[in-house]
Amino acid sequence: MRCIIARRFLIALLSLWVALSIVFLTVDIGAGDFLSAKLAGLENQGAQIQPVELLGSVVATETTVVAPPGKTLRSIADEQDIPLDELLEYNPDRSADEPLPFGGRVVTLQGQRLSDLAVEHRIALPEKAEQGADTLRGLNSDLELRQIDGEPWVPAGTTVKLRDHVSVAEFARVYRITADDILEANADGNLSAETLLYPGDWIAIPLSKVTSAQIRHRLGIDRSLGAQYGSFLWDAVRFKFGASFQTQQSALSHVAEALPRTVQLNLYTLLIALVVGAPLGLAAARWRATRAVSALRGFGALALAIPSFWLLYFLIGIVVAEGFFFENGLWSIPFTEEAARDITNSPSGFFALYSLPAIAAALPLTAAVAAAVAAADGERARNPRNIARRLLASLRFHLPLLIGFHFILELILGIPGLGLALFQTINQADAPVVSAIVCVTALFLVFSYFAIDIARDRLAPPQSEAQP
Amino acid sequence: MNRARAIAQTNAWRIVRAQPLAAFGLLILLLWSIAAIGAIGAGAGWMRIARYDPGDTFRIANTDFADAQAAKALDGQPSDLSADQLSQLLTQHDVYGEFAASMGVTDDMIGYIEDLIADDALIERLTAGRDPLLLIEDGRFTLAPQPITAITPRPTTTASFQGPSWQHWFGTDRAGNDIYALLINAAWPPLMIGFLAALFGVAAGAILGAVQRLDGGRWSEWLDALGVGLYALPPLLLVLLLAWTGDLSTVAWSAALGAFALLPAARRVREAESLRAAVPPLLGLFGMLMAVFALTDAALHFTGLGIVEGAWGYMIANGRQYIVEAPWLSLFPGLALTSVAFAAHTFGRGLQRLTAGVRHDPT
Repeated sequence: MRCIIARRFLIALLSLWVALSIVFLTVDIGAGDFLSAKLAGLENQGAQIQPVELLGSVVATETTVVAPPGKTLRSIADEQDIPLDELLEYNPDRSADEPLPFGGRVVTLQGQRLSDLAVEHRIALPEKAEQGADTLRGLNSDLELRQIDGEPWVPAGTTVKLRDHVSVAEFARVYRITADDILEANADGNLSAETLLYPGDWIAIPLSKVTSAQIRHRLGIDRSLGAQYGSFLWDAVRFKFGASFQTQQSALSHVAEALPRTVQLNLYTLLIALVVGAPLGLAAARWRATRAVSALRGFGALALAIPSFWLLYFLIGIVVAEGFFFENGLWSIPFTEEAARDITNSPSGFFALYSLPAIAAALPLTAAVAAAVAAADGERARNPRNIARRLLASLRFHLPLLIGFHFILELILGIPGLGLALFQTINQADAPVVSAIVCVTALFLVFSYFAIDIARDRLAPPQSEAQP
Repeated sequence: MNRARAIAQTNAWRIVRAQPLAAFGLLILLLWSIAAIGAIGAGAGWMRIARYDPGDTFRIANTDFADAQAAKALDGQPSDLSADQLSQLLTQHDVYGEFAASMGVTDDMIGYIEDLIADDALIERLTAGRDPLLLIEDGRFTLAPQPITAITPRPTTTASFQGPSWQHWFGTDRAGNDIYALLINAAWPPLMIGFLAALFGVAAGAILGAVQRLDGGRWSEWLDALGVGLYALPPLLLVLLLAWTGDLSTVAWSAALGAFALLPAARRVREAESLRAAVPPLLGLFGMLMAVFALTDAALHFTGLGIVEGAWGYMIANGRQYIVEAPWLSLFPGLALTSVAFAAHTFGRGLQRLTAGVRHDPT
């Protein structure tokens, strides 16, 4: 037995390697040209040559954010780890639990994070924001900095010294261009790569010089295939997927934020399918009536055939739309309510939001469960082991389909789980986050397959042990 | 001779009676296949798949869209343009954009604008009124700021959003297209992609399973890793990843979907008593997978990441914002999709039972 488990485990690891290799082939090799072209387009954004004044110091201002829909000051305070009292003080015209108007600006800090200042004023590249903050701290050793959420920030109204001088080459680096690009754009000046620029100097920066070759270098896809493959695998087994191109946060933190919502939706669906499907299958098998079994079979084929994303639209239209079937709609779906996305925060909100997608996705699974239970019950006189084995086999087949279709249901409802994140990052060409999502999904599926097989081995009656 | 035919007929009838769902599935598949082949083979004209409303009704309904496009084209131009210059500026096809072109209504819009220019009515129309589209500043047109609630007008016709009727069985969409005609025109992707994907997956899986049988599965069990690795990337995910690598052909698209089937097909071959005994379960799997892949393909099109213009998934997505006012826009493509998936599944199941020698459903 132990030998079988060990072998299955090794096969699971091998499978994971196959899946990772496919991800590498598609994302890192196949999509390299697409990614570098798309990123170059994003970073150039139409800008040609921009005159820039080199600043020696700036006055920190307040930090504002555009409030996402459905947020309150309390939820922002919770998320960003800022004391609520302070937020209320900064935003005297708002109360703690009033939903913020869509697109409304909220002051979150009476000051600016040091790392934000460093990026904004080109002390460092966004991915090296921490180093930039350290540089600034060195230049402003007399400043009183506050720590919020583990990061230093400068109170509003404080003057922060940015730099004494900077060389052309160094300045080019923080714009992701070369010194030659700057020299070319400033042909009338007496510049060289080593020329020092001082506060108050104006210089023309050719922003559109970010080439796909530079981006290829940054992505690491100009290296040899072997080197890329090695580092991809080594990073993947350590769960290092790099920083998101869009937000500069680690890709894994995006996954960690989205995963609980997807998991809850999937578990809810599984629960519905088991609770409804198992008794249905038992009843059909017990009656042994031809009609009941054929009806169940017809229902099964139909349930598998109905597109869940289409069904969900009609469910939403019927439940939410006033006066379609029900005068005021059955209940209102909290599409934008943050708390409703987690059952521990708001159980009622959770059920209002997740019930419809769970029902839509549970339909084919319910039919599959019922069919598995009915078949198993019909074969041998009601052997629970046998029923469990059949159920597990059915689950093994349907699990990836369930997860795949849930991704689309999340998209429809705007639930920011793995699926919504996947579709957004696919469109934004955000390869690190896409890789992270796909690899985490693959990891889960490979090991659920492994676990289901082990469980089936255990449940197998001893005499039919022909197949390991 | 007659007797042989009579026996064959009786047998066919018996089979139909024994497997009514499968026979029904076969009928639906045949009907859709004929429709799809007809639509491809004879071109759009065969099924009267054309916008049926005349340009006149279009002009009445689309002043907003044409005016907005004209205002955009005039932005930044000197305000003392002659009628000739005006008509040169505004009667180019690209002024009305891809959207109008895809609706096939660009010519109607140009006709409408030409009439207005001939009457000298256009400029007055755009610059007058309470919310003018254009302002005249320093002798040049500039776009007037629009209230934030204004949405970009889009072409509609007086024939838009008609409910199901004898003339239009499944109703009409925003552009006045007949939904039934659109459905027939886009019938081939779920049939062909579903079939090809299931074929690739089951064939590859059967070969893998047959190889694994060779040594009784002891060492070749390691080949499972190949199937499990592909299974760990749900069909949807693999296609999404591949979509980055470039434009996918129908065959590549189907193969990416079908990769998922490698594992279940290989398992069925490996667990069967003989290669011959593996055929019935493979046929059942084939039907089920064809249904699943047709749905997955539609789901991908639904998200806007598909490869076929006007596929059923797109139609469902296009109808979703009118789900209350004009539910038929999404309803009929969804029902059509359901019918194809249902038919494939039941037909596959019926074949499985027939080939396995089950004449009547055991109860």
